Amino acid sequence: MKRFKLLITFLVLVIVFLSVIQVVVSNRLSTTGPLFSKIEEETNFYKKENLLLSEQFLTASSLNNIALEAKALGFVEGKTKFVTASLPLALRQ
Amino acid sequence: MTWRYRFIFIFFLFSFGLIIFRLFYWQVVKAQELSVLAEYQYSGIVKMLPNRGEIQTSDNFPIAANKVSYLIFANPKIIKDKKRIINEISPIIDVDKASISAFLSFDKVWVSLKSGIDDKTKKNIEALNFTGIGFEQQSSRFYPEASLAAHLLGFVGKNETGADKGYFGLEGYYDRLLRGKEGYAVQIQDALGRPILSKMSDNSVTVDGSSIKLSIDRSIQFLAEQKLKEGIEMYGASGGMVGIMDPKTGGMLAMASFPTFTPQDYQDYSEDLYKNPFVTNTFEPGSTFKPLVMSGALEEGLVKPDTKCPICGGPVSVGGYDLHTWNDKYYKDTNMIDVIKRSDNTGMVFVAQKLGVDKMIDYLTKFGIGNLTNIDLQGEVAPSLKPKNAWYAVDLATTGFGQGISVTPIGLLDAFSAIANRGKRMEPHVVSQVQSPDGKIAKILPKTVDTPISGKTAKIMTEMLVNAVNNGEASWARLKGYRIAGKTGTASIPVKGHYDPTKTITSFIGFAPANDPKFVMLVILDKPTTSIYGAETAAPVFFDIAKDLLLYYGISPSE
Repeated sequence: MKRFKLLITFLVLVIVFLSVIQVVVSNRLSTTGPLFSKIEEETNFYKKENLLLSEQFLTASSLNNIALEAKALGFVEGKTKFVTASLPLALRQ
Repeated sequence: MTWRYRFIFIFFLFSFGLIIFRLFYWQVVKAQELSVLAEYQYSGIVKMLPNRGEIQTSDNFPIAANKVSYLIFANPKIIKDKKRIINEISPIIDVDKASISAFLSFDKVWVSLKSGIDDKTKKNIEALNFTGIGFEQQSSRFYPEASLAAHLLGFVGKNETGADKGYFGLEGYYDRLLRGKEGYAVQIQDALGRPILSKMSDNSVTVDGSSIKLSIDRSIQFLAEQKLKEGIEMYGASGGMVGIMDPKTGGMLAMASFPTFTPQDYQDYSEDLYKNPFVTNTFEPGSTFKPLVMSGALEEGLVKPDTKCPICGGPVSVGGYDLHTWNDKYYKDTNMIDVIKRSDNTGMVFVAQKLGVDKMIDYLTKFGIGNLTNIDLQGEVAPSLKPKNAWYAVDLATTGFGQGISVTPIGLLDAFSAIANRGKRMEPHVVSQVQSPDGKIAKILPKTVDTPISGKTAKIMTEMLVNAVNNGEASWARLKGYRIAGKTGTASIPVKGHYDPTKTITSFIGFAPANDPKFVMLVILDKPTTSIYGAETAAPVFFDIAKDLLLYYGISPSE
């Protein structure tokens, strides 16, 4: 008798417990979508910014651009060239 | 009371059994069918495009990278003021009004107006606040140095399915490596279509493309292109090429050709310009070929630097043809040093005849003539040598001075580099290492292909070439104080069975410093108009570049 009683109580409790868990999990999952979207948007934004900045950096540091900027600033190619007997200190490795 | 408990127990047991049975039916028996149906309902398959690998010069600067671009599209069904959109968008995206008008007249919800527009243009359009105009982010190829090394790089276009594909140059040759592998992601959405989970399919993971690092030195490439451009303008040539190589490793330091194109806007240029003429064009090398033939004869001991030429007193008659020197001046009993110095055709006929057909073919093959150099660029060609039984006496004689035989510029440069590298010919290459997306680096090691001549012969030949630079017809342009080994070349252009007397391909090939070469360089000018001779056109361009290269390497004058 007692065993049956206990078993039935246990089964009812399991059902209640699982139902509560389902409600909690569903509740949490229902708000994951917008959060996930937001995180993904932010990641894409920073990835894009990174690429745009790389593009600007590469364009600015290209030899073509440096040569154009130098020309605009009035730099001209030196006519007198000389070479030191050994490599400058900064270039020695 | 007992029967009630039993009844409730059996009822629960039966209910659980029923549920388990139903679950088994749905989850095991019908599992596959239902999971497909469910996937259709709650998930979407998203194509994950890999990032294309970068192409970097030896200073780690990416000369081919990726950038953000956008595709601008319209929904004609919700656009109210089409006229305003046509008038205002047309000048911004550089698409004519008639085309935009045609796109907007479609009875569709999505029409593409233009792809590849930059972020700034996108912002300008967004500021106009149009309804029914949208943007889709894309990734496109970006060349920070614009047209620098365009022939080397090639470009990225589209294949038949609209996906990115590399064509020509490195983009073409290493396309599979640079492209990476596409992946697919399954995006799970809620009832409103918002993503709730994201899972990559196990068997379809995106793999980014590998990056490649070149032996090309960006500064030398820039310098070579600038000087070549100036040279072409100064000497009124229709085009030109420069190739600079490290003779010890075979690594290309620069490779430039004009006319050229801009990889970013490749579609605006003629298709003829896409090929890299340094590896795809052939020409008769003329006198720049003489050192190869002379080296073979020296190696065989058939001639020595002081060997006198008994047939050099006048034009030489071979097989019914009279073979002349370039300036119709003749020096009886001239020696081999002076044959190279004066670029004496009759002297080279003497050397070629001494060598004979068998040994000529043997040495040319060892120098790589007639075979591909196997440089890692798309489209290399190699005109084959004639079979032994097809060589006539006049063929042997003219090959001695570089006429009647065709080579590619890369073939000639590679062959000549053996003289600079103590007789060892290296395999030319442009890529020095490959870096996979996970950071693993695979280095491409220098490879010796052949040793056509000994170090001793290479040294003798080098001295003859230094003498040619210091005392030959191009000595006016030489760099005083430096020991540079080199040779001029003036090749006639064969037209309809004869040579055009007014048009030539002029060239200069050489290396410096002669004792310990840092570079070997070939300069070619196509049909210069100010002079038809290499000594007056290609040689000054060579020395102009060499001057800055020696400065760049910090090499001081030795004399």
